Amino acid sequence: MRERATAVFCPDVTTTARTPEEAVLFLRELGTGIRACVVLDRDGRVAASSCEDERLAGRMGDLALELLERAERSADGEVLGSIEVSTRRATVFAARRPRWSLAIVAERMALSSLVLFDLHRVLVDLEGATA
Amino acid sequence: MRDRRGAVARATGLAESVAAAVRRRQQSRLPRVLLYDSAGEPSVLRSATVDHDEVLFIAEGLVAVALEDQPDAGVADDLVEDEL
Repeated sequence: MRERATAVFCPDVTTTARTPEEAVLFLRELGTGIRACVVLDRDGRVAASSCEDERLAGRMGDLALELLERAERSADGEVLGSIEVSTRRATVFAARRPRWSLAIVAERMALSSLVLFDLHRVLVDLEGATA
Repeated sequence: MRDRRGAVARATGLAESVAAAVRRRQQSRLPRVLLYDSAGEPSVLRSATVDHDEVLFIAEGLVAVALEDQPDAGVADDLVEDEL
């Protein structure tokens, strides 16, 4: 009975985020404290962003890339899955896959596990769509 | 006499628990850098190290840009509350 109910309400675990624009839209609609996000392509260029201002979106993309590269250098040779940085004003989450990278700025008290789950889920869907 | 000691003990206990709550709150507000490996296992970058400070500096820049795009967002409320 439970399995049937689960199947009805959770047909699959994928998002509708098949394109970078859809990924941004999906994350903004989640209501889990996500305030801003940026998707980068494999060359580190901004593919989509929640910033309406193009200049700010570009700046956000540069900083997201810099953050991931700096974190990878700090990982002591380990493969970096993702990074979470709690600052005084907000929390930043970021992760990189072969084709796409994603950075999220969330409220300070946002639940890390939820944001990280959504971050990886969106990246998996983006990767799947471009595989 | 016994009652007065009891009241003092209760007041002391209350003050200690409030102080502990304030300490916990301040602790939870401290900047923190967590690196997750590919299996999702976290490790904390020790504070006051070059790695920690540089990662934090970049992240703060990212937050500043994000907030610049939405100056009336509720994120800044945390900062105001924190400084009170």
